Amino acid sequence: MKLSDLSESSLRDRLAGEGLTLRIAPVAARIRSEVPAVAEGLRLHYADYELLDGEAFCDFHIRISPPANLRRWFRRQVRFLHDGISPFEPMPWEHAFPVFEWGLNWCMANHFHQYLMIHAAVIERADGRAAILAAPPGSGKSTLCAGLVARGWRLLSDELALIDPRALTLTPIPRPISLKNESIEVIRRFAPAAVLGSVSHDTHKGAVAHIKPPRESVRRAAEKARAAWIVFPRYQAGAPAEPKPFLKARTVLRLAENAFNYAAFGETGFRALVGLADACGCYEFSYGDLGEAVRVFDALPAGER
Amino acid sequence: MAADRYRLVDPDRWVLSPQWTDESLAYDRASADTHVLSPIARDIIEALRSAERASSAQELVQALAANVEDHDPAALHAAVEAMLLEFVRLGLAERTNP
Repeated sequence: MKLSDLSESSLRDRLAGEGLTLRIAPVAARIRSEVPAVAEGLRLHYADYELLDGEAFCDFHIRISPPANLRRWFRRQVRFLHDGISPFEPMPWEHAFPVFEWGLNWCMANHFHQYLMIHAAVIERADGRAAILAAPPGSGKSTLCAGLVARGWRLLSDELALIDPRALTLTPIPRPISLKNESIEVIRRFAPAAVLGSVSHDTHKGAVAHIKPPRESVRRAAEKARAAWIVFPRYQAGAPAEPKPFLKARTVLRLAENAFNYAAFGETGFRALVGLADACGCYEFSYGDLGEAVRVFDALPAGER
Repeated sequence: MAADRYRLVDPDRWVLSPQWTDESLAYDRASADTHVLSPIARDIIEALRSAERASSAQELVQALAANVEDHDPAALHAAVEAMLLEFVRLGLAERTNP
C-alpha cells in the first residue's frame, strides 16, 4: 500500500494519532504531526512511498508539533522531535514541511553510520552510470540535480551519498529535492512539468521549495548504483559549462571535507574514498546555464579514469 | 664520516593510495590523519619500506633515479635530503647509527 492510497482525512488522522509509518528507501520512519502543512507536504511529495504496518520496526520516530508554550497559539511555531528530543530550536509554523525534511536529514546524518555519508547529490544516467555531486550549500548542487532529474536521470538523493564502505555501491534514498531562492524560478522555467510544492519564505535558508521525486526513482529505490563520476559543481553566472579534471588525491580530501562521518570510519573510510576516486572520473565543474550543464553531463565519457 | 641512514619509524603505520598523477595519499593509522604526498615523498616512503636496512640519502637517490627522467643528480640529492629531514621532523622517519 502506498501513501497515495490513503484519503486526505485518513492521512491526517494517522499523522495526528498513532503515526504514519513510511518506507523511505533504506529507512523506516514513523511520523506524527497535527500540523496540516506536514500532511500536505507528505501527501504531495511522498505519495509513491510504501506505507508500513504500524508495528513495523522503525529507524526514526519523528514528531512535528507545536511547542508547549504560548507559541502554540501566538506567532505559532513548530518543533522537530526525534525520539522525543528536539535537536533544533522551534521554527515558524509555516515552515513545518521544510522542518520535517531538515529533521530527517539530521536523523540520517547523525544516526545512519552503516554508510559513509557525504553531503552530495547522487543521480544515475540512463546507461547505469552514477554521478556524485559533492558541494557545500549554495553551490548550485540541487539545481543541477533537479535539472538532470527533469531530463531523465534517476534520482538517488539530493542531499546524501550513502556509500557502502566496502562494496563502494551507492544506496538510493530518493526524497524531495530542496530548492532555494533563485533556483526555484530556474527550475520552474527549465522543467515546467516538475511537481513543485509550495514555497516557504523567510526560512533561515531563504525561500525554500521542494520537488517531488519522480515515481520511477522511488520505484527503483532498492536498486543500488555505482559511481562513474565525482563532480564538484559550482554555479557561476555567465560561466561556460566546463568539466575540468580534478586530481584524485584532492578529490579524496574534498569528499572527506564534505562527509558527515569520514573520521568515524578510520582506515576503512580512507580506503573507500580512495577506491571511489580511483574508479571514477573526477571533475570540478562550473556552470552558468542549466541546459548547457545538462548537455555536458549527458555526454560525460563513460569509463574515463 | 659515515653518512646518516634513515628508516621509517613504523612501516606498517601507513596506508598508501595508488600512485596517481602528481599526487597520492597516505593514511596514518596512528593519528587517523590523511596526508598528501608529492611523487618524491611517495617514492622515498616506498623505498624505505622495501629496503632491508636503513638507507642513506645516496642509496635513496640511486633507487629513485630510475623514476625521474633527465634528473640533475645534485638537485635530486638535495631534494631527497630535504624530504628526509622533513620526515624526521614529522616523526615519520628516524636516523639510525651508521
